[in-house]
Amino acid sequence: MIRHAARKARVLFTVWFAHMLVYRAEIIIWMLSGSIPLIMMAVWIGKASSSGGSVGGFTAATFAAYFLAVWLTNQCIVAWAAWELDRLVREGLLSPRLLRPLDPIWNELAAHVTEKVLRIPLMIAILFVGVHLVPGTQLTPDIPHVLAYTVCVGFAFGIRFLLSYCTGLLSFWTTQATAIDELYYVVAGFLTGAFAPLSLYPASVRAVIDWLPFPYIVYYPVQVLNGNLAGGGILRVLAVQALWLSVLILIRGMLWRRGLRQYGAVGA
Amino acid sequence: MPVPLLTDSAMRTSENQLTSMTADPSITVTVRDLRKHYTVHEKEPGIRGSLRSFVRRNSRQVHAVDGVSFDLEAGEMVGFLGPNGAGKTTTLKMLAGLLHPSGGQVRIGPYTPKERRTGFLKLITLVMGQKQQLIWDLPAYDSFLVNQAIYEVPDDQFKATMHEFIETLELEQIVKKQVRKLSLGERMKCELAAAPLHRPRVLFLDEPTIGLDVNMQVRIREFVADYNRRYNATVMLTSHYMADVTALCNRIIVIDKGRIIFDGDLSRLVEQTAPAKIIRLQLSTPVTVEHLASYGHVHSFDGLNVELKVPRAETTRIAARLLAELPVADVTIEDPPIEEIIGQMFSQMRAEQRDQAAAGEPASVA
Amino acid sequence: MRPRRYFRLIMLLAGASVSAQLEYRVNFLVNVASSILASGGALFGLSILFSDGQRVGGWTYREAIVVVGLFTLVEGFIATFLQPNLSRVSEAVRTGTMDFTLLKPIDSQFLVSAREVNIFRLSDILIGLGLMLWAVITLHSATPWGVALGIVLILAGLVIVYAIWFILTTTAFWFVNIENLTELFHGLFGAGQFPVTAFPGWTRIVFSFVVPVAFITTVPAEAFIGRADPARAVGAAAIALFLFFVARWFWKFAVRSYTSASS
Repeated sequence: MIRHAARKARVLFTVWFAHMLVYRAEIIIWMLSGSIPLIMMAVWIGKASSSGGSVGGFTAATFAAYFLAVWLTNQCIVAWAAWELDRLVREGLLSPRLLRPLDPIWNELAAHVTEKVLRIPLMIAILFVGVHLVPGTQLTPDIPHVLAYTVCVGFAFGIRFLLSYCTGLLSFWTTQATAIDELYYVVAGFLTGAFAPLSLYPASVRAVIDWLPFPYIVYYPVQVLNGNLAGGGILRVLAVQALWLSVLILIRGMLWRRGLRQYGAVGA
Repeated sequence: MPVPLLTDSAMRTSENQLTSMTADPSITVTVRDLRKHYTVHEKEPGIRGSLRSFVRRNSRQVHAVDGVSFDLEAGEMVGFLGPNGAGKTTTLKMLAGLLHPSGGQVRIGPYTPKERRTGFLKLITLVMGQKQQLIWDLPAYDSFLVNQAIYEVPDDQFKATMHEFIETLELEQIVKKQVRKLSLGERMKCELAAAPLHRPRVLFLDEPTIGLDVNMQVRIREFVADYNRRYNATVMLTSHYMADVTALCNRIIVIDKGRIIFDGDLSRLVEQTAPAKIIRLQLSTPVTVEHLASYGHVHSFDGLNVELKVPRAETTRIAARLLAELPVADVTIEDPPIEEIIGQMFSQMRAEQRDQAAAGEPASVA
Repeated sequence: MRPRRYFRLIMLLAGASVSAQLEYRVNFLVNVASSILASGGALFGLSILFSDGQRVGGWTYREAIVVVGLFTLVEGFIATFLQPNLSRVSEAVRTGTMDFTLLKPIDSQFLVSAREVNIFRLSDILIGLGLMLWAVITLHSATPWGVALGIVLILAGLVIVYAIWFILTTTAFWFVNIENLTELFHGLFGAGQFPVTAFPGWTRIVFSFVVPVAFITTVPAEAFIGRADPARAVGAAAIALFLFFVARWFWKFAVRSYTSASS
């Protein structure tokens, strides 16, 4: 059983890796087009230097560390599952997938994870340039924080992937799943902390946002990497992320079952 | 028909397959009163229609499949025919578990398709001529490997099956090329090889030869026949090309407007629907058309080669007369092509329905 | 495969499509929600940036809202007119359907640019205009001459966006496998929601002359709030004309080399 699962995982990863290599140029373009955190970095650094060196406790160097980490995290959590599911349903390609004895989500997950692997080289290059462009930028204090961040960003990717996947499952009922998923990018700017560090938000807004999954996709993993959270704080972030993951897994299961019933009733 | 070359390992595994098959209860397909009804929303064309339906929808019930019943024995090859929109694809999708029936039952072996159990999915395959499952940007072989892992096919069985499929479909030169760079026919051959890699016992083929040239059609037919023989697999096939059906299937099921209108031997369909036979003559000296017309309807005539259409019951008598009275060099007696027969069957049915509708009473025999 | 293209097809085939009617409603709702959330988010982000009451790059919060309004307007222009048309060009080159376009007895650049309109994204344009008007009126600093100039400069800005987008699209004739080159510009255009003076050091130069985002949003906004700089206004018009002719020339060049290369 486990042997079979491991084999399936291995084959899916190898094949998707070959597939993503074909699209390496596209991947680089997508990486470079996600430049909002870097634009915000410039704006906030400008603001800090014009108001005497710091804004709300942030200096040019801490802003750089924050927004570079936001950029990195955004790169790690990119998900297009909604777009893909929408395409599968629209082009009638879901039927062949449904005939296989493997839930299509695993295939999609393998595609997403392998794509991330190809992003690593450019990620490192841009972080390297960014850190050296602004003097005194310290992205992370030590290796343990990097390791904690790795787990955190893995969970964050899981949340974003499942959000996108669940939205994609709406394709069973509407052709607007991709458009609905794009709403994530619309709200992500201010809900995940890509526009500004959440600590600069008014407390009342902050109190509301913290109850949503969005800060746990970008803001909190960034705090872990930047070294603003220690042991207990990191564990709390992981716990909340795990909670959101379980909720989304339940929703995904429910949507999948209902979606299949709908697909079976109406077809495509 | 080339005899498939069996390598040692292929031989060994097909023997394994045979022994495991005798242990298996044979897989039969049972379909009882199968129905599928849709609600269709209708909109008039153009902006005005769009605006109107934005506010209020018109809907209508469509009976895509309307009470279909049949049984398939293990190893049977059945042609599934009917005009576009008759309900063929809908029926196949219900048999494969992709669509849930609105009524009636389907059993395939011990399974009910719509439950989509793993065991069921491993037992069947569905090939749709217009839908592809191969990974577009990679060689087809990568897709085969994915299927191997997903269906948990053991390595030796995978190798043997691959070897066998590559041989019969002539895939050597193709499987290592990117799928996007293959021609339509090559791609279809790869699709067809990917679908039964896990050695399913029931194959549903929906237009597997659509858009392919004659050579390719023949190759694919041979592959299906071969697979059926080797694994005693049940095959249900829809096709626009009658040659696919006549070459592969003894039994055919004809469906129209969601109902079965014929189920039986191909030969019985011919007898039942085509009351005429074709006598083809080669003459040694020319004869006039008028003279020939006294024997039967002249179908075609070019001086020495003649085709005569004669009533089925009188074929023997007329053939004997022709041989006795004309300078015949050669004679063959044939059934009309199956396309013509099926076409005739549908136009007859349509005419009857029109009469019924017009007269408001059952059509009487003319 | 472009999702929007299929959506269009589904629109046309609405008679056969089961959920076409529902689609109009969902589509409409999703787009309006998206427009409102986007501009609300941009305003909120801006308010955080200005939360200490200081000017940013010499702009007050209210003045910067004019820039956000213009940014939303241009985003709406892109989504309504550019994306639905130009995103299809690379696919058309790859699949060979570009040949049909080039055979039509009508200017091919016009044909590939003006075939479709995504009316649902007009909401962005309306919201952008609304934001701008509201900020301009409450600022009380607008002059009739400034508003007239501003309108001309908006048009110049739209020409600049169109030309850049079109030039990037035209590269599809050579880079057959790269579909999203325009996304590079689209990503950088995000800088247009801030006055260009908010950017420090060399990034300001980049957003003025390498990627002329400043001339698309900041310069028209200056005219609307009565701070028009004649040199920059002339500059915007000149850049617009220049880029338009470059785009025109580049397209003709691309088509010529395409038709002579393909047999």
